[in-house]
Amino acid sequence: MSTDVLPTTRPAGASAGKPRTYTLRARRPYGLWIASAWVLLLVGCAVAADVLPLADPAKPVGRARQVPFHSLAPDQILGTDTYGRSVLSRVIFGARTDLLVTLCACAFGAVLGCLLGLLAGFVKGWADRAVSFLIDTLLALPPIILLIAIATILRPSTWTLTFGLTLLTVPAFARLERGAALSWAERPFVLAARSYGASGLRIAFRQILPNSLLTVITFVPTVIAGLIVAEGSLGFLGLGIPPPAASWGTMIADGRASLRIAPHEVLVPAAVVFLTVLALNTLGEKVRDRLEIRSRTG
Amino acid sequence: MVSEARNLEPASQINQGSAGGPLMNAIFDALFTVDPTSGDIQPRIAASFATTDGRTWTLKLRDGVKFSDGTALDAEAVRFSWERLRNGDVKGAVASDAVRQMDTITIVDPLTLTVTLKAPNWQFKYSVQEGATVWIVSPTAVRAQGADAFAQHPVGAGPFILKSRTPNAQTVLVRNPNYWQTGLPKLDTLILRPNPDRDQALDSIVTGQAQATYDGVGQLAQRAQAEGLNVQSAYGMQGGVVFLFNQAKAPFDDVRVRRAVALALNLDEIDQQVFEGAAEVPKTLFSNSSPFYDASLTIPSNQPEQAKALFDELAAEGKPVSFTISASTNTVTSTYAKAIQTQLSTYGNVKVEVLVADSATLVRAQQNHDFQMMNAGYASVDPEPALYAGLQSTGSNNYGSVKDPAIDEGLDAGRTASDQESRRAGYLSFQKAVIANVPAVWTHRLQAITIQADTVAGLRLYGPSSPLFDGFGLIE
Amino acid sequence: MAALARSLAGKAARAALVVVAVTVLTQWLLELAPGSVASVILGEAATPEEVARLDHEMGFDQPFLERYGRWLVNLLQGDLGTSPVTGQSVLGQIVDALPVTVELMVLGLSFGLLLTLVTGVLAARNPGGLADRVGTAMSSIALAVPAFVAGPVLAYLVAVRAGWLPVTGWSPISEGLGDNLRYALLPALCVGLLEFGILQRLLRADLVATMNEDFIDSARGRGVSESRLLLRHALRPASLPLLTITGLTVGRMLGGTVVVEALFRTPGLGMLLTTSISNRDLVTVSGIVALVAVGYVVINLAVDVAYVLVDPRIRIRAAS
Repeated sequence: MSTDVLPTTRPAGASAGKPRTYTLRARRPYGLWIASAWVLLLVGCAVAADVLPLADPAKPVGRARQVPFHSLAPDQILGTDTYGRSVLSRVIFGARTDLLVTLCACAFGAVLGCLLGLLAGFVKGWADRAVSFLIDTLLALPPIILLIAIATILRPSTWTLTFGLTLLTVPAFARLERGAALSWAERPFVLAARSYGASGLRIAFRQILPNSLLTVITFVPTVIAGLIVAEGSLGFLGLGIPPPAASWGTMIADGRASLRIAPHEVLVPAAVVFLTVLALNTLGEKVRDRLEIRSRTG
Repeated sequence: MVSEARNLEPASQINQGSAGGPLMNAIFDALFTVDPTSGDIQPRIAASFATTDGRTWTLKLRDGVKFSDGTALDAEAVRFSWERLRNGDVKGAVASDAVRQMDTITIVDPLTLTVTLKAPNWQFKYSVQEGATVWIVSPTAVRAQGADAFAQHPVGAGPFILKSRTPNAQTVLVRNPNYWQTGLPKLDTLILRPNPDRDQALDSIVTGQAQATYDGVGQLAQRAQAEGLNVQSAYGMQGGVVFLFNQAKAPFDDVRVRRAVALALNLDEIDQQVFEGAAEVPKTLFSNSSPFYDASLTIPSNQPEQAKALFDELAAEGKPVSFTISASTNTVTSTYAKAIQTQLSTYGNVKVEVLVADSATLVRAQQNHDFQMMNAGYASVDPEPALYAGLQSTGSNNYGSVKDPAIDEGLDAGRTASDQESRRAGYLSFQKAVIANVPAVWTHRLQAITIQADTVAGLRLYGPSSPLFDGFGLIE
Repeated sequence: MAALARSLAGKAARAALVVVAVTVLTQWLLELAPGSVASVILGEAATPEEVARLDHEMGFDQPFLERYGRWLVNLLQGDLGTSPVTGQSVLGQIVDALPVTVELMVLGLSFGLLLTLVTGVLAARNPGGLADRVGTAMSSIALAVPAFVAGPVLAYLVAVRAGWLPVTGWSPISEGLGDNLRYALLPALCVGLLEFGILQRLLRADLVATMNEDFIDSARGRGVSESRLLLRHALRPASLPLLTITGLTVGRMLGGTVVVEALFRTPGLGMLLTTSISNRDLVTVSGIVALVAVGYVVINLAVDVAYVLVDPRIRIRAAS
């Protein structure tokens, strides 16, 4: 599991010199469309899971370890797991768990991180030093310690997991917002507002935060993807969502025991995680590319 | 072997194939073993271990046995080893059933030692065999190094000497040139690798990474036979692996709840799910190889109608059943716990949570009797000592706080009886009491099975499927 | 230069504070977790009183700050202590486990870097071309395959289906390189996959950008061939940020191979960390955490220093 949910972030000062002037080939954004469609499908399924004709994900629907497509009944189409539960149903309810937990963690992390980042980037001085220190500490601490400690102290639960994942996102958002705040604070309109005597708080929340928020929002899909990975890794270390609730990570972890005789127990959720992380990364990247182009040309 | 010993201090080990047993047997050998079918002593370092009154046991040692550091393995060394288990000299010594029963240890002559028990026990040999008492340490080495260093550099009289050890990966042992059995061990180098995944342990034999393994569940036997390996079932064991109810806490302080859960479960189906149907699900407490077996004394299980009626009855009283199973991160245990949870989800009026926790959390829960249901094991070749320690109200491993006079009476009768007939009577009444009390759900019986590549032979198991390596070697 | 030295000294002081904060946090968090090392040592059959007695004997009932202070003083004298669980010195345990993790990292990173260089250079020859798109797609895929997905899937394909490699376990290099590599390959691949995904994007972007720089244009004007331009002129400056990111990656990976090691039962630092945590072996955990934190902080510092030395613009900023 990576320490940082935004592993691609460049280190401070690692600018590539001259601004990039190569042009993106003007292609139809099929990738974007497919990615959006997949994410929409997932969100739709997750929201409508209760209404869909799905079996209870915690209860057996038939014999154990039936392979996918051995029967075309909706409960059995993706096969059953070690305990005879419907894999389809568990993947969809797992989507609900995963999306709920990661969205909450991302939202809490974003709010907390942005406030810290804003504080650091706008007030500067002692605030910047304090926030940077906090971020450095969180990044230097192997996240596994934090998460294991949280899980064992508070008992594993959905909320414990959300809390742990929130702590993972805070440094990423704080760094992003700090950088954005630093650069927006130098823009002419902010300087102008300052010279008109606008209060610091007003400038921070009315001018800098809304403007820098756009940058932050474009990172949300990437952060969610990172959190899905983190959630899955935790499931592996026995610290994920407590059974019988389904999440993709715990499905893969549980299925590993029967990898030899029923590989679909691992391969189905693995494929879903792969497609989802791919879609979210693509979405995040494309949106950032478009914004970058717009800000450069506009 | 399955899991890894924390260190190489015999006092800290449990004599099991899945724990410190293999390492200890290689380094220290065993005083003696007990024949699983006849119950006779099979001499090793000790020539005999016998009693005439059940209270005083006499141990006679073989002449000329020396530790690998040259110290003589005499009665004094045995006394030293046993006293050190008793005095708590070793930090983290595992509470041993055998030393708890000892009253005095007397040296008669350099090769003879008597031990007097606090209460008569005609089956004391099993207690000695299945604890750290079976491994004798070199007093010279312990005194010279101190206990902490000894745990890293153990000195015994076993067939092998420790060469190097990478915890969780492998331990390399080399031949002890001064081993007491001339011409043995057959191997120059023995490498022990822990692998908690049974399938992978078997894979490593098929691919030639390893030459032998052993198994307590029998899950591997079929696959191993199909691969053309030499599979031998040495002997069956009594009792088995259980999910234990904690009777000190609600809801399992109510025998109806224990009975309802036991009756609700279809353990054969769970066996299919967890072990692919390879494990033996106990129908009776003792297997049919035991002299105490009685086919009519079946353990309550798989009566869904009765279970449903009990769950409904409890709910009607305003006490719907709801409990948590504490499971370790070990795959078999947590899979089993989830299987129980899934099966019970098909009943109304019962709610099960599974708490997968790390070892420190679980150990603390067991020490404080602060759990509702968890995994434990009562396996040994004889009812002694595992069932006594686990189910007797003062037993050293009575984690479930079983306090049932009928169970105690049966166990005490079995322990103190001098003849087989009264022993059998005791254990028959014990079985009836256990069936009435429902202290646990018996999930599977352990077996002692060895699996060897066709290039090797001679791996032997004793007691709780603990392996002996002296006769293990390549086929010429 | 005095300003520079002052700024670096400030950074080093802050780095030391980070290490202290991280270790305090670790020890304090694990204190709150249920169970103690004494209960683990004594086993499930011990009574709470026996556990409390051992806790007292080992000094675990003393105030937290007092124990932390003693630990820190010992650390500064180079003494990481002895694990109460295994009886081995913490340093010895780390020395045993570190090479395993380092081997996975080196193998994984080499694999990632090699693939990065090949696909990056191919992509930069013709940005937007087929090779570029394939490379980008590969990196997208790599980024979407977390270790907990890659591990079981690789294990299924390579080990279970094909039977080429052992699924789990480890064989030290001392027992022969061949065996060692058979065990190391799958986990290293898992580690390398993600790194490839990250590094490929960086190198491609930097190479493409560098190829547009003026000095490349002038070299092109002198008649230097395209492939020579790419390999000799562009790759060198473009690989500087790559190396930096690689350096940072190492810091991140030190604490990050936990999942891979758990998946493949590799006896490295990650496995030592997880077993020590579940044993509440505070001494060992603190030792590892201190090592990882120092590693992380030192690498960050080194990167900062490198940039200051390399890029004069930053030196001016740091001094002002």
